Amino acid sequence: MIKQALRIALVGNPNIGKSSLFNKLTGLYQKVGNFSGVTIEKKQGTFQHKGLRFEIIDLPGSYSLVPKSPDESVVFRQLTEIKQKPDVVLVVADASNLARNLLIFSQLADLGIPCCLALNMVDVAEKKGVRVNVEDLETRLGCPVVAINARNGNGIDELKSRISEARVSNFHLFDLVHALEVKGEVPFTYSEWLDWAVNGKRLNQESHLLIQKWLKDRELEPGLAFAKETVYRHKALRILEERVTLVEPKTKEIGYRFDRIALHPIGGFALMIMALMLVFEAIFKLAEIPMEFIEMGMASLRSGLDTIIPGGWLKLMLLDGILPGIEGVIIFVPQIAILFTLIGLMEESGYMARVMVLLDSGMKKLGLSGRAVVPLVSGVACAVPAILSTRSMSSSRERLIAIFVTPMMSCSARLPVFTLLIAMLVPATASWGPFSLQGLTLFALYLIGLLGAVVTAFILDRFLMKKEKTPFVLEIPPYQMPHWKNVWISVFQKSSEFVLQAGKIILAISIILWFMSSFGPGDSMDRAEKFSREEASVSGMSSEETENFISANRLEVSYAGRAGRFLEPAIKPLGFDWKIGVALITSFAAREVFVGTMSVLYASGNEGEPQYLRERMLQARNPDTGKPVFTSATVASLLVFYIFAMQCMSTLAVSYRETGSFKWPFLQLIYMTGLAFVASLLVYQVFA
Amino acid sequence: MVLLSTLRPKAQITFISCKDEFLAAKLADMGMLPGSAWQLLERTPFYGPLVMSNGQTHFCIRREDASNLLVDEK
Repeated sequence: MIKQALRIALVGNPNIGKSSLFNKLTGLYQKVGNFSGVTIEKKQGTFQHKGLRFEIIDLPGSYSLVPKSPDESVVFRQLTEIKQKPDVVLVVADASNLARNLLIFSQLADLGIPCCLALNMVDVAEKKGVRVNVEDLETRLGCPVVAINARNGNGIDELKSRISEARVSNFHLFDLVHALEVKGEVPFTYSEWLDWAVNGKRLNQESHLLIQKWLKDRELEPGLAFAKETVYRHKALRILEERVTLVEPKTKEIGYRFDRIALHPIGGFALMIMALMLVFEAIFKLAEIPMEFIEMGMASLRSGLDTIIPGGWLKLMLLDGILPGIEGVIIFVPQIAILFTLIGLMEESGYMARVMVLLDSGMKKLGLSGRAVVPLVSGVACAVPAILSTRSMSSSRERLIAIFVTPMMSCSARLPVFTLLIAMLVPATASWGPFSLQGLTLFALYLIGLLGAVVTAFILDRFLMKKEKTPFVLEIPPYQMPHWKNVWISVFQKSSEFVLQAGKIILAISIILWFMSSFGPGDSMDRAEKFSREEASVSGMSSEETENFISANRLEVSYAGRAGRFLEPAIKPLGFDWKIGVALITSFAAREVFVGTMSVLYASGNEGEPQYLRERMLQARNPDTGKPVFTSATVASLLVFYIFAMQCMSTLAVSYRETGSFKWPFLQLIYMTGLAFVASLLVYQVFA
Repeated sequence: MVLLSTLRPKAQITFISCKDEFLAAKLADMGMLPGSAWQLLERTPFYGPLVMSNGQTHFCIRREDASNLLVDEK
């Protein structure tokens, strides 16, 4: 029988394989959420071993328990607040950089939290000439130490067996470091000190006075006291490191040789641009075959349902409302998965850190730093996690600018809209050298989004926000072969999250839209049908032409048609008709709903896949002028509109949560919608 | 003693002190302690950050932040 689960917190420096270990321990038994009260991503998972059940939480990477950024604050709170305190802390340390990695371990030991140490990358350390005596280290620390390789799984079984042996380390440094400083005993505990200095907690009068007197006697501020404490801890840890490791100096550094190219003034930038262009090319080329499979599968499902389900409004709602809308999202999953895979590979290989270094000087001019590359590049996938990733920024001003401009990066939700519209504008066979023109157009759209973000950040930095100085220091990890399992798990989680989030909205909107386009006030729909039939009969239309004529006229008098007509005068200067107006309204919740809406609005029969939808949209004629609705100017105008428009309620919600005010999401909405309107107007008026 | 920001690539240095308290604490967390030996590996293009290494840790620091760091050049 499985007993109550042991709660484990996974702690360690950034870039030391914590996520790999988490994935190895939990496999797919994990879920992603947020830490309570904040929106930093929280990964939790479970595993069982020899009848014991373990719940594990992966905390953000942190060098020290004393927080210097918002996500380090999460680590601090999670480990010090009684309600959240884990049973055991599993500290992951890089074997080749032991002293620095044990800083947080020594702080946990002083807090009296039971620990187990996972010594990762022992093989890499040995290649660097560093050999750690694991048994000796375990004896000195007084808690289990297990050598592991989180990438290939070596030592993981032993680690699982020994986690439950975790105990409070006897490697206490707090008394020692302060004794070295003050030549005497410290009259308060480490826990009291942290509560007082970091949490600002009111201790009992005696402890409070003791700490104040202690600081005053030594002319110390809490900040300086922490800095001195860190230095002393490092000194003690260096001594420990020297005792338990054997170092054979090797001249060549492993994992950094490629930096000669990646950080080169010309080569580095050329490489970065090439890498990004390949990403966009891959999105189109590699996704072709899986997209065709999905199209065929959905077509079979549709025809199957058509024969099984008896006629009636339920069948109509399913075939003309729900299925076309859902198809509009599922069809783009391969492209989105490819995008997440490539971003994941850049992060896993260590190349993303080089991009941050290269772009820092440019970012600085916009009031940002190289760290903003992560939210901006992640924004290409989805603005919601991208905005969450700004939590690692220590400057609130920089965070605010990054939160404001990140939604301008073209996210994966725009991808379905872009690919549909690009296919209408650029022939599939057109190419420029080895690159397809469709891929290049997509790249250009992303660049326009980036340009919009850059200009906006520049304006915010120069004119709207008070200057603030925050240092930029970033650790550069060694290059390594990407760990495919980590990438796949991340792609699976993010893609399924995208489908589920978008799917929920789309399902609801598809049903509403089907209702709005199938019904109208009073007997207007019946009258429109009767009138159309008479007109068709007088004009001598074929039966197919008659059905299309009836559908068009019914749609026009439906609730959806009336809503679109209401909006039409405002959007006509952009080249948009009332049907596009309907799609703009429905896609306000989420951009990708545009494709589903168009599928519903242009699906009079059974088909709604993009290729067919594209053809129907291209064939659509303005009933007043007889000219095509989707001219090149209209499509270009729509593309520009979707680059800039803030059509995402989730992004607005997360902006509100992150800034803690309605002011910023409201400004984002007004600014981006206004910019989209003006840019679209210019494009249409110039090219029409 | 010189400012780190004035040095050329490949310079071997000993870190002495930092004028900025927050930066000093951050560097200490990352293992850059007074008296520790480092090498300035790169000055990245367009007045970009400096890349530092002690053989175990590689990190970059913005040049204007590096102007807070006093070092001894070996």
